[in-house]
Amino acid sequence: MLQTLTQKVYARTAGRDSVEVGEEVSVRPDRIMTYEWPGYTDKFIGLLKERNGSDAVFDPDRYVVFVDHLVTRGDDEELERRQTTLDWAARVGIHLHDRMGIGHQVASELGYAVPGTLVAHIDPHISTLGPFGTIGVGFHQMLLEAWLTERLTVNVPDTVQVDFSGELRPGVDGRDVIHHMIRECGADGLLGMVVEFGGPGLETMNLADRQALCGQILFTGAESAVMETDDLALDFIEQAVGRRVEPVVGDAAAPVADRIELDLGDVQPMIALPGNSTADHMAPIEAVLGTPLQRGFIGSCASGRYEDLEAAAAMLAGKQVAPGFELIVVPTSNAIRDRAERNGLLSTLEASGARIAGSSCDTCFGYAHPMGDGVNCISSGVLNIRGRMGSVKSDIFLASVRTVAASALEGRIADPRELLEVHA
Amino acid sequence: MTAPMTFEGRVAWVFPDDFHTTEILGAENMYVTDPDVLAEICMRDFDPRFNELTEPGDILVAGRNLGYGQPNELAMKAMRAVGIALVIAESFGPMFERTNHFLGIPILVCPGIAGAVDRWDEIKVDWPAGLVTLPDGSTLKGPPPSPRRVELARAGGWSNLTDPELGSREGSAA
Repeated sequence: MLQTLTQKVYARTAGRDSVEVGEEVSVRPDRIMTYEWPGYTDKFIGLLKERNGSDAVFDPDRYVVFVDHLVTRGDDEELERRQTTLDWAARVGIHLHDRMGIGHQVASELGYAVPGTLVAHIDPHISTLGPFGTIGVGFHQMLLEAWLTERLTVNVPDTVQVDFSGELRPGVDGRDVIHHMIRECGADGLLGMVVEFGGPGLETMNLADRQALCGQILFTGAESAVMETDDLALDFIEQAVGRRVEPVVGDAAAPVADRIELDLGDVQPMIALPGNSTADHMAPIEAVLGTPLQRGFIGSCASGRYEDLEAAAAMLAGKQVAPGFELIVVPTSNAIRDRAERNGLLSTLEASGARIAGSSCDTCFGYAHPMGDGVNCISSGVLNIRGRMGSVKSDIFLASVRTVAASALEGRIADPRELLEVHA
Repeated sequence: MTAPMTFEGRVAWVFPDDFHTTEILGAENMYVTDPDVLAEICMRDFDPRFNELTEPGDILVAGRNLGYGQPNELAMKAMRAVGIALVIAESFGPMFERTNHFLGIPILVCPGIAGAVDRWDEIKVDWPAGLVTLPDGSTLKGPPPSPRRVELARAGGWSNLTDPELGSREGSAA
């Protein structure tokens, strides 16, 4: 039976030769991940004790915990919670990575993302692992099942094949591609499916753009996203795991729910308007040019990578952010931060007036640097619902890192293509 | 807790397509966990009297893709605290659907439901059959929930399932 990559991954983890779309199966994910968050990690520990009489897990190597949220205030609540989690992880032998950056990035740096694997997490943004051939799926409370049994009862998702041709134009990046896709497909256009990306255009995208695109795929309604692994992806994985791994591919003739072709050259800078990330909130940048801004944010699991910082630094070099404008830059991981520091990107950004903050998730959801009333922010974070980054009376416009950088210089929404033309 | 499998209740709210459930509580309340407080703030921005007006057994209705993106789990905890017994939508976001089944909350996919009812309409639902009876006696039908999902609702969520399922890992292959 011909199988898509998605079906192959679900079949293997279900201990089967093949699976059918929609079928209810019990899978054993290759990795079971979470970040520390009240109501999850503490609940996992509690239920393990209650049901098994011990907070140990059967196969500790399968479990990974990241400490990347709620880490920037340093208050007693934070410290106590973290210590409980650290003690537990050490005692039962599961993997724990404490404040190394945003877990969805750190997971790939540490080699947890390899082709043809299934990673279950509480958070759907784990689809960020897609460029490495890994299917990352979010389960929220349902991850309890995996925490206790190593298994999850799921329905096999359908596959949609998206093939890229062409190449992104200057000033356009992966965030613009996802916003373009949401506008074209709708917020439920790919409902419940795994998006398999391929085509010659894919190879022209850098890894940061691929990660951003996969990580935000949930806003098309999709379950997850996974990409063909070319040398760029395989080189990264080799660095992480210390050996060359082989790509895992689906059967080319396997039936899929739909095939979509997208010429990357057709993608223009897009803005997700405040309040939502539905299709009707996706606007070409022209619709909102000049909107006054007081804040910019470069960071989150969907931005802030080395390539993003490089693009921002190139645009801000020798210039100053607009007076009164606050630009916060959060490198996605400590490793990215160190590399950006070594290569002078951080000093370039700082010289332009940007403030560099430690690598964590906290700014993206308003725990760190909360926005005040009346503030308009242009952000490469993941979400723009009311109150996400602080006051419910503040507004978040989601955009590419290039649009954030161009807008920071003007203190209003600005088109990165104009700035790049000046350079040229 | 044993959930009933057939429902008669009022439509407490009709959500539009692509509704982000974080709006139910507001992103500013992401750290609230006390069910009483959750009930009090539930839907406050839509109808300040929502908690007061909603009765145990009431039903939520929505258009397509309810709980899209990253659904807010506390929002459904709040809905349970105010007495919501069942959720019917034209479709659900994948995480919303899975998580609520896991927690034992009966949810039903039913094409056409959002345009067929108004707030406070009384409807009857045979959940295992996927059958909705509207106030005028006409019916709409959605795909019946799988036996496992009915079992989860009967148990009041996965955590209340009996131990055999928990013990199955030893024999599993992968």
